[in-house]
Amino acid sequence: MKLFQVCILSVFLVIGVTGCRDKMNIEDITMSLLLGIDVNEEGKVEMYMSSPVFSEDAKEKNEHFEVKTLSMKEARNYFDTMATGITSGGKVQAILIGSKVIEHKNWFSTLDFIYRDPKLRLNADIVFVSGPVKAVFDLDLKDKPRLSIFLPQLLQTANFREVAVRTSLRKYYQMYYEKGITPFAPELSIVENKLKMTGTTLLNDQNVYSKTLSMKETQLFKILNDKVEGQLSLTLALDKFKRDVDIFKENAVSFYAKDIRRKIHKKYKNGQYQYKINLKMPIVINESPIKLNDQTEKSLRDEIEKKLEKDLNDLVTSFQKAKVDPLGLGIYASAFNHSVWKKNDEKWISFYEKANIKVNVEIIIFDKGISM
Amino acid sequence: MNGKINISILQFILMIFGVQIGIGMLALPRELADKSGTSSWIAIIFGGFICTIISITFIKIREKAPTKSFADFFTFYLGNILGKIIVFLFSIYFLCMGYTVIVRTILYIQSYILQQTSITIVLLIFLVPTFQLVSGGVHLIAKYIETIFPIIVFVLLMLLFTLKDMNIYFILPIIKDGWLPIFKTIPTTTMSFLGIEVIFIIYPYLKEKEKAIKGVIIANAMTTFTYLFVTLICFVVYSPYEISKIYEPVIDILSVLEFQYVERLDFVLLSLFLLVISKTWVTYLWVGMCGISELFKLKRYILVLFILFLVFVLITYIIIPTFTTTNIWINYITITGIYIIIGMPIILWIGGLIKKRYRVNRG
Repeated sequence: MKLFQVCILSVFLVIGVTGCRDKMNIEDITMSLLLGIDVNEEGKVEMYMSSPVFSEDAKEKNEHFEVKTLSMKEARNYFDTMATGITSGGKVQAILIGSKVIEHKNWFSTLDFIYRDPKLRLNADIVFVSGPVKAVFDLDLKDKPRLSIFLPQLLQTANFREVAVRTSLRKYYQMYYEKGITPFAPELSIVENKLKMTGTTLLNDQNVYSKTLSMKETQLFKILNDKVEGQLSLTLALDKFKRDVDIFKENAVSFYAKDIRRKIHKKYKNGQYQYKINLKMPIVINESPIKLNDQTEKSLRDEIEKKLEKDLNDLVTSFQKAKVDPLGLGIYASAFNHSVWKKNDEKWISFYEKANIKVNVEIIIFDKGISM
Repeated sequence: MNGKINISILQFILMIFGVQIGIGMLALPRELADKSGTSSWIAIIFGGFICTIISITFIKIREKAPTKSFADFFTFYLGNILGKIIVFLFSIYFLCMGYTVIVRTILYIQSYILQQTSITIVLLIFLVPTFQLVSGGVHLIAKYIETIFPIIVFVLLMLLFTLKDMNIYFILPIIKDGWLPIFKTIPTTTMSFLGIEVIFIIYPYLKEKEKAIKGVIIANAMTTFTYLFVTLICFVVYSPYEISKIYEPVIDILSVLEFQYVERLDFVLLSLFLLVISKTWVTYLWVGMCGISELFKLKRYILVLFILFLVFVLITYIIIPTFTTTNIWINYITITGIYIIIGMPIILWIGGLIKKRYRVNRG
């Protein structure tokens, strides 16, 4: 009996061992690190894929493919007919989306496969490319590592310096379905044959392109959004301290902002939302137009406060004009006044347009450097 | 039965806790959010409270005949024929529950990890250790559950890392649409506490019977805490509009965890969590087999178990279970479970009353 059991068990185990058909040798894999989606001049959807080549014989260190099809999963079959190995999406670093794609309303449906297949990496970044995606893939970067490795690094370092936002696929999914926020993602451009993070693309509640923020506005947006984790160095030109009309005007002040504390006061009155965003910003002065002692420090602080407040308020007004809510003020509206929100969650943007939003900045200079 | 096999109070607690925490937990946040939005976590506390009371009732009933085994207990209360029928039905229920859980788990494995591998083969692999554990008896199962308990603690701790993306405003205000939807969610949360019915079977093996009530309270409190913890984390990380679109938020939430030295932690943690789920089906199958073997006074227990597992494999091979079919099974089985945990004390109480009168009449 005992021997019989052991025999049966070992037969089962042997059957089991052969059962794992998902085995894949790493030599046989073409790791697609970058995916791209674009619409060409004829209005056809194109899919791109780029992966590193590890072979010594190959001259190019990168292989990339393009296919005209509506579905990325179908595109994978075509990639497999061209690539050295089996295409696998488990290590996707970024998805590049052309600026023409986001002019169309239903573009998000092409990304459905990402959220359905558990093997895809949801931490991959979404990047909007201003201009054709093809140009990025075709770019010959002589002084940079291979594209599929360079681009993720660029995203990471730009985010660390707080000059660009970072939107993972997971985050985008949330911004797409949540009604109190409109999506945003970093924008990549090719400027004089160089890749450059040029700012932030904002989409409206229909998930269609609406506005682009410049690098400076992106920094301000990050301050407003209370998402500063890296080093944020801001430079402002203060008119008050302008001394000369020469090229060197000596009116620039630069500072690091750290540990920004944001408080949002919300009110709902007569069908209008009122937000008061109070920012408390401890800063370290790096560069000052005037000599700093305890008295002049105060006037400098007032000037920075005034200038920053104006810039931030302008930014918020421009958001309202463009009908985008990347700050997610709708989430606050839902949290503090749920009964009103629930009736109007589809029309949030029309409320947002009319909302009264004010930004207040309080600067604390806690370090002014080692020399006056 | 065999009086020598005893389990300690810790094993008793972990066994109840282990049966309760299972596949239900993975989809719980979505199910709750579907029913009554993000305020539904309050219903978990009520559900836990109700189940604690039911468990205490079970212990109180069981205290009347503490050493009688599963089948003997029911025949003692309800007479020979009725008792045997009920024990048989119970055993079938437990076996069905065990089978459903194991099939559902394999579907998860297939969906997340082994997409190309056939269900039957994964089932075969899983049935081998299950066979060993179930044929090993309560002592082995109790030890197994005790050993793998740290895994659930580890998985829960890893969930804390996902909080870096949280937004507390997703869950505010705490009571969004009044209390009525919350009360309507209580049946759903009570169902996720199913598993307390095994108290009836494992109680005779408990060494320190006077601590049993304390034990069930602790076990239910642990389950309540786990559910609350998981649900609250999911509710602050996912937006309320988003959570109803994700089938298993508890696995999905882990997919964004990344450390410098390890990526895709969700696969690792899901594989670990499979062990946690295995406690459920192992216990249910053992309990079911326990009833069957006592009922028919089985001599060849191992052989019957073997045949049962062959039947499982055959059924799986023939009907090809899907998420939708298992959802229907789970639905039926949990409703049966609710009737059982509420109906069992009532039937036993009536049975006890009749028995008392019968005795008085005879005396």
